[in-house]
Amino acid sequence: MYDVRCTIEKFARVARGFGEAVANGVLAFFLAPEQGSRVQCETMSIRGICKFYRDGFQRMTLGRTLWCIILLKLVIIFVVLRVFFMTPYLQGTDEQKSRAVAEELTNRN
Amino acid sequence: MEPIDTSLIDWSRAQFALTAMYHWIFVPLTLGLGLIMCIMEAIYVRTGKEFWKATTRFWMKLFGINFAMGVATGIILEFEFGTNWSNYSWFVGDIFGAPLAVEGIVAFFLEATFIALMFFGWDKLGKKTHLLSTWMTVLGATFSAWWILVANSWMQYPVGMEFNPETVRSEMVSFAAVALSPVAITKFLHTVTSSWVLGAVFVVGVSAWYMLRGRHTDFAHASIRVASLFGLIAALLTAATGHQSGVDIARHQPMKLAAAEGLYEGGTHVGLVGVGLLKPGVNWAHPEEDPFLFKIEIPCGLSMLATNTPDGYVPGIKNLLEGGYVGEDGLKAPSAEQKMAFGRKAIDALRDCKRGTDGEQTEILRENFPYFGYGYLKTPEELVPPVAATFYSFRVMVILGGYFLALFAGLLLVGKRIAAWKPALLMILLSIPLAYAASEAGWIVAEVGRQPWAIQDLLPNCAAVSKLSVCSVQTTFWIFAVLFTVLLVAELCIMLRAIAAGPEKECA
Ligand code: HEM
Repeated sequence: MYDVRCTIEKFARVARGFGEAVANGVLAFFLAPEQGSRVQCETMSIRGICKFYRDGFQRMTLGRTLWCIILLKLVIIFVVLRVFFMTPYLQGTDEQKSRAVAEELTNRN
Repeated sequence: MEPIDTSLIDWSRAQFALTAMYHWIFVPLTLGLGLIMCIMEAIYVRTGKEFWKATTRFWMKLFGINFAMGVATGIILEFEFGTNWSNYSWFVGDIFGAPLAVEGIVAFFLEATFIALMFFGWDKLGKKTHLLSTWMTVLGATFSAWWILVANSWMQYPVGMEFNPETVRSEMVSFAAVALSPVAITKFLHTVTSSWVLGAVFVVGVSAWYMLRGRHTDFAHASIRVASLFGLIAALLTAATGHQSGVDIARHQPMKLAAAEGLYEGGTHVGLVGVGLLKPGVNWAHPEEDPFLFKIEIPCGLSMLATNTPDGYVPGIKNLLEGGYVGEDGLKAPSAEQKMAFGRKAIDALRDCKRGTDGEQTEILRENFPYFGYGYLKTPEELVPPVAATFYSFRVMVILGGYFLALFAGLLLVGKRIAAWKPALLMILLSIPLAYAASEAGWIVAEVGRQPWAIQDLLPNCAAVSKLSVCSVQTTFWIFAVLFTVLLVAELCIMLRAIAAGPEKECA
């Protein structure tokens, strides 16, 4: 007879193995140093990641201007446009919104 | 009965079109240039030559500028849904929300992580690891496009949903049907492959400029070689996926096809118009009058496209409005008037449901729901999209598609000799705006051609739009127009300055 438990266990083993491989791969991928593919413990830390980003941002030239434009854009979009000009038309609870739309859809024909 | 001011619909549509077209300036270059720089970096990893590293870095810089300028421009579209198209937003329910949420979470994080590795990791990651992060960035961006296009495709071909009269929302019954609808797949493939074409035209155009100025000629030759081979393949794929898009609209949006072909009276053995000039002011009710001042067509081409047989029947605008022909399903097609009557029945049933649900009304609503949107139309003519805009945009896109194919093939044949031919270099440079024109024209075909629908057959614009004051929509339209112009000028300045500076010294 087909052994369901055994199959599930096998599947779980394979999945765990796959999960570990992916996790290792992602970490190695993130933090593999230039010199080789072996992951060094020192870089494989939160500090390593922070340093990577800090160095990257510090070395930016044109990137600085681009970041300024992105931030300015986000402020304009989320603070000015969203708050003053593009507020959601439907307000209230889902119940109220549904009633308002039903009213509109049944009165416009 | 509360009529909606048509100028409110027009301004709301204009605002959405402005935002979408502005947003679309950045997307295809991200997808197209992204893949080209992936290929160039792969060449660097394979050959180990610093020349290819510098070449990749140069195009990556332009990619970064374009990416940064495009970031967040799509969010404005989402605001517009909530503000200007609130009935629509509510009506689509989780169908729109689910793909966009997946897009937001998966693709955004994928992109955001790998883009940092790609830009900051040149000296910190191994070559192959860096190459992988470049590919992941571009795949992430392409994956984002998938979800947005799934949402758009659902508006063109609403499947995998059921309308709930209780909540007045569409509820997803099959995520797979929504995410993998044939329209979504074709739209994704055509959009992505056509974006590759745009990216390739951009690379050969910028390279042609260097050749015209006699600067960085080795770099320019190498870039043209990669981009024209890539562009040729992409242009062939674009033509193939474009053909499939035509087949899809013949099946699911026959009115769009009729408008794109200027086909007022249908029939069998219908030709596909290659080029033509429409007579102004033709009325669909009098198709005996030839709608063309002149046309060159491929005999039986449209019948072939729509039905796979040279003598297949293709309905024209008049036939679609009058009904009575036998459709692909073997059934007699209802007329527009009949569909409008079904639609009114569905809306009345919804009204009764809301007053106090009884099973019969729900059943009537369910039966007539496929025609729900028709109930809002006053006359059958409202079903006819702007024919000239759809017809000419379609020709612009397809003719330019043919031109790009010839351009890439020509560049591959001519090779380095192109450097000596200044007029050709100028023409290649001027092809950059043409690629944008083709891409935007594609969206005009897709979106103008499906008017008056916000959601095909279910919700016309007049029912989808929020009841705002026209003045407030006009105000935001002009605010956006100014904002987008300023941002576009800023992008162009930064991009042109980066191009003028040229690649790093390894490429000089
Ligand atoms: C070469 C022959 C081409 C054919 C036969 C073709 C066909 C089509 C068709 C039928 C549509 C409408 C699809 C719909 O409404 O669902 C479309 C849309 C579109 N096309 Fe093309 N096209 C071609 C070339 C191009 C080129 C060269 C570009 C850009 C460089 C382009 C970009 C687009 C875009 C962005 C859309 C809107 C997205 C979509 O609906 O797929 N197309 N095309």
